[in-house]
Amino acid sequence: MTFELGFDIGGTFTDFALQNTESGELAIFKVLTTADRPEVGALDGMSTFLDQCGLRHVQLLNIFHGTTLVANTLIEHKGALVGLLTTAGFRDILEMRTEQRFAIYDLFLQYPPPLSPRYLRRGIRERIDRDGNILECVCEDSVRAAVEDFKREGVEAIAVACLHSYRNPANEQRIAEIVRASWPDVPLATSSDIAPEIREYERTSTTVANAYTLPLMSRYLKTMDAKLAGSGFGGNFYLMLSSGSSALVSAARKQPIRLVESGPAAGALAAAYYGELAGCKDLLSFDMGGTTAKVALVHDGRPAVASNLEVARVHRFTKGSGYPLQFPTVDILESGAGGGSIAWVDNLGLLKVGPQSAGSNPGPACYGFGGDAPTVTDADLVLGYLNPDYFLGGSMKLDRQAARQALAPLAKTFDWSIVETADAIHQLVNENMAATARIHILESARDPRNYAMVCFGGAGPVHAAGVASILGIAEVIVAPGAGVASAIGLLIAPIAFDYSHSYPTTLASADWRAVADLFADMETRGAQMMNDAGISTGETVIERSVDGRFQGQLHEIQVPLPDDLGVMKVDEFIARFNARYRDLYHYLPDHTPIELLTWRVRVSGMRAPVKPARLPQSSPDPASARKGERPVYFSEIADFVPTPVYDRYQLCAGMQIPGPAIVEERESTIVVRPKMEATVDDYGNVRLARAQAD
Amino acid sequence: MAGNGLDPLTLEILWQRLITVADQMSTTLARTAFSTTITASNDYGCVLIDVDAQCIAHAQRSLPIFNRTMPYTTGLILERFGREHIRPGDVFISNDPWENAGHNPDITVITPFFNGGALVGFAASIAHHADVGGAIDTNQVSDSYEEGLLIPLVRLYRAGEINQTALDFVEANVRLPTAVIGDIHAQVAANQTGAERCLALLDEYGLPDLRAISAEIHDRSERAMRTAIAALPDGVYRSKVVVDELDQPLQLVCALEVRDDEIFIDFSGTSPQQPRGAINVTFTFTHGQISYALKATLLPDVPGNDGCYRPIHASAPAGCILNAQRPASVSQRHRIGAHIFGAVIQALAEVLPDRVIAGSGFLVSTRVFANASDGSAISHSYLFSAGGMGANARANGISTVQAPALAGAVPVELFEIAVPILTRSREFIPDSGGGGRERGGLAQRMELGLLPGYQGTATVSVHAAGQNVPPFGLHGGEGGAPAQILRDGEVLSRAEKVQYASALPLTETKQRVGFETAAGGGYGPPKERAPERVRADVRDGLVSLAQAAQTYGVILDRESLQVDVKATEAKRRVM
Repeated sequence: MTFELGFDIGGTFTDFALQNTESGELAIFKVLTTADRPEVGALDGMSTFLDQCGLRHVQLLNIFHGTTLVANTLIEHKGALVGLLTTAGFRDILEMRTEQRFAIYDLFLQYPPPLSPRYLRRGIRERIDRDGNILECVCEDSVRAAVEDFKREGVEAIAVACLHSYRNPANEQRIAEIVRASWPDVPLATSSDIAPEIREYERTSTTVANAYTLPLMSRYLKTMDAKLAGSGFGGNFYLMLSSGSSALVSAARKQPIRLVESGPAAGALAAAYYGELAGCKDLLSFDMGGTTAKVALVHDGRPAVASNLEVARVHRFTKGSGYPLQFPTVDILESGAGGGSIAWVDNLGLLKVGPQSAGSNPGPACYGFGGDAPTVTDADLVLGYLNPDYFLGGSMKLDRQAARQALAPLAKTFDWSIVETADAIHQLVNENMAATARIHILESARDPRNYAMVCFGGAGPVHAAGVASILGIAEVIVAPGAGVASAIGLLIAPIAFDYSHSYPTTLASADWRAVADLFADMETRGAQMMNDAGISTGETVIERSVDGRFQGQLHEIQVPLPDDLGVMKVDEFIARFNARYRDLYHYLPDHTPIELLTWRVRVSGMRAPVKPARLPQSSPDPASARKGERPVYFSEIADFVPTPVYDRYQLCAGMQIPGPAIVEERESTIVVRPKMEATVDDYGNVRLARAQAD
Repeated sequence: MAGNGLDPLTLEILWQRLITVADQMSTTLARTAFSTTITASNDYGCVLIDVDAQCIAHAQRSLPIFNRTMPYTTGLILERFGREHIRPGDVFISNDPWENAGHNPDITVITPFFNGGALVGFAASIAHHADVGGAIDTNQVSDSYEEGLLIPLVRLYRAGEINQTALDFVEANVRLPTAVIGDIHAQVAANQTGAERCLALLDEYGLPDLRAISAEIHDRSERAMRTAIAALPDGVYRSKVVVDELDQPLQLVCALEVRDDEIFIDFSGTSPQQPRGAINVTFTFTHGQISYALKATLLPDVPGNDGCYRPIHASAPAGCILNAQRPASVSQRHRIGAHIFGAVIQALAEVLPDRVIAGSGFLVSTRVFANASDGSAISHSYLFSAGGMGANARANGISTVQAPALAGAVPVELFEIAVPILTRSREFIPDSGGGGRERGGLAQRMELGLLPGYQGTATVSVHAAGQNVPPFGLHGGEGGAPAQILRDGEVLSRAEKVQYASALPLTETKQRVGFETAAGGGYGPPKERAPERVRADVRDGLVSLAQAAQTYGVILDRESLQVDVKATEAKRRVM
């Protein structure tokens, strides 16, 4: 028998999922994250988990790992001291950003500090023009001098980012060679390697962020790799990338910045997987935790991927207040709505929820850790959605009186009862999350009514039905193991890597031989990576695409290219491009040439499908899973109603639970609203939908 | 839940949804437009307006001036065409500087929308277009007729039928017709998005129109602004700002009277409109700047809408440079108009020291036209380059970020693809930030030349704001460095700037056109700046050793850059 193991290190918990690759049987496990040395807790937890399952490391075929370490390093500014070598005359690209303020009325806004401070940013005489011609060769002495300075200044990693290097990497490569010659072991990142795409600020930002995380991640992954080998593990060790694919540790170590959204990406994959089991391929993945809610879209069974992202935003999740990164990433929108989000009154006398959060310390008032701000969790408790005696499976008691007290000042302000206030908070946070999702769906020109929702996170199943109904989404799927979704997603992720290269040209004047060379180069690297992972050419899938736009526009749309460029008809491409454009924007400009900018390849290896376990069948009557009853408030009824409570672990396939009802599990609570019905499917999904005619 | 009309919860939900609708208009426009002024530099705006021509919500990144001018233009539609003659499928267009945003590259498109045959509101957008014809050498123009295409307020669509005649006129009068016509269509599409989403929202909530929500938004916002104004002591607060952007110093004289919970702001005594040079400001732009300055200082947290401005009464005498009359030339109105923000801020600086910022460095707006020598191609790009932002009581000014304007830069690599220009440098200017306890944001220097090997020539128009007079410091802070224009590395004299700056030729590879933007002013006396912060600035090359000593009185060791505590104390004692 062979097994695969996924483990995801989050801020609070480290989650494990283990899969028997033959039977498909899945086991899950959770330990607390050891924040200062996360690998210690993870490795200990892994041993404990394997012991429990009666397995040893040697029986594991592959291990897949997701981590928040890279994201935390950026958010907490704990990365390396980075020296930047760039084109002379442009050392401030990183700090000039887009020259734009992200909040129009805020005269006191602040940006996060540049990840390479100005005294460590050095201009090197060299220049490449827009067509890739070398106008000036690298001034080699100035590189050497800068490296000597960097050594003296205690620099820990070096980034190289020159103008138009996506078009011709020669000067950057020369600079890198000189750096290597005078400082062989310094962690080094060049922009033509990390993000060879047009737009100097975003490319430089990505390269510097990569250098910033290189030393730490390289040490961490080396230790992890060695310890796994030491414990007898002889298989492949993979890391989860932001794009929703896995790469061998040897590849990930060079580009740790690509791990930045590794956990959330795995979560979206898990959503796609459970959705597919339930027969839904267009999904909204909804993950509501303590401080934020994350929303991702799944189209036709695959998480939607964006070609860039922004991380470590310093201002209320506002676009423009973080670090831009240029590589494919599962398109995740985050908003400041979680269980800990605080409700408050603005200067217009209106109720607001978030983005300030009480976090986990002091936490919601009902935790009894000294918090007195009214939070979403307090509201959910007052409304009866949460069980004060079964929070985290009963390991933590919630204080309903403290929650009511925290809500009292708001109730007074609005002249509402405590319960009305709690209900208003519940509705408003649902509305906030729906707004985030709505923008996401509309921007990809889809209709939310054609989507199902898969929900995760501690607070997700409490709010999912409310959010879905605002969006007009007909069905909510609460997957089993929603608390360890990311770890399960790790077992599903394809082994893949995305390559990109900018070569701007009009469609009419494109040099298709040059394009073919670009693809050949990227695909050779991809084939090498697949080979290292033991995946044969026959099992490798290559997908090509290009980012195009009408000449003069700034925003590109991604259009797939055929496998064989030799037979591609330009007319067919234009038709495909126009169709996609019209889909998104409903009209087409006349007589405007198409311009192509960035060419992309995704090389992926097929993986054996994860076979889900099935629940035992039963009759529709859920009585055997019923564990009690409590009064729960529903705005539809505008009152508390006696509501049956069910034990998730006692559910059998085929059970039908009419709303209103509550289904409790250790990490979360499913709220089945009135006029809805929950059904349990073969795979243990609890599926909420409008009840058939009452 | 108590209350007449909308309860606070429903109001909050609907209000946020309307802002989201405006944001979606904005996204549609940004993604489908052609001009980099729109797509990269964000020089556009999208709003939702009620039946009484009052702005209800604007896109979050919509430029503040535009949020004020679009409702004004909408009011003119009601006045001229008559409410009863506006039909479903109508779309209006205009760029008249006196009725829109003060110069004709800004074209407004307004789409009325209807529910069951009744007018419900307007979705409007305005954008800075790539070209509207007219003279390139704007320093020499003497009236608005030299500034190119003027589109009076007309129907672009009548009951769904396009007014091709109007579009043909536009197309025939601009240098870059593909971009301009494409962008007008992008605006129509953005408005359509806004109208459809807004109607869907009303439908979802079973509301017949926007009246109830509009009234609540406006009344609550008005009350909040009145409360903010009432917190200020009654009195008249004055400022006089000297600006010198072209031929001679001019003054902007501001008297801001706080009377109970209202503000009366007037610019009597301001210099007269100028006979040439395109630096005159229409009152629509002036009004927008005043509104923005007061909103940002008094009520920054409330989403923008016209209710905020009800307690504010603004005026400027007809014929002064802030209320220029036809046919004054106006296309560079922001070179003077950007200073209005500073005039309002300086009037409020004593009474609201924690809410104001020192003078900011505005922007340099550059246009490049290149012509291949075989006549095969003409290429064009705008380039906006930010100055430094003014410091405030709690923090340094941010370097190279646009203020008070809010547009953005075009990436060098995209700019170089658009035009055959090689950017020689784009970097902070050390020592440019105004000295202060909090330092002003640094300005930038940029230099351009022809791309080596390019067969052809280019004309570069450089329009700098913040020349000759430095952006002001506050409460003892020093002013930032003023803007400069350079030719082959040499700073142009005043006379040369007037004569050449708006049409500098590049005919050979070795020639250079350059500029320095203006830097932000400092806040608080520089000698109160912590020596360690001065040391950090010196280490980062933002401040020189000489400026550290002269401006800040901080003496550092040349090699180690350690603060010489004794020498610093001694120096500061005598400052």
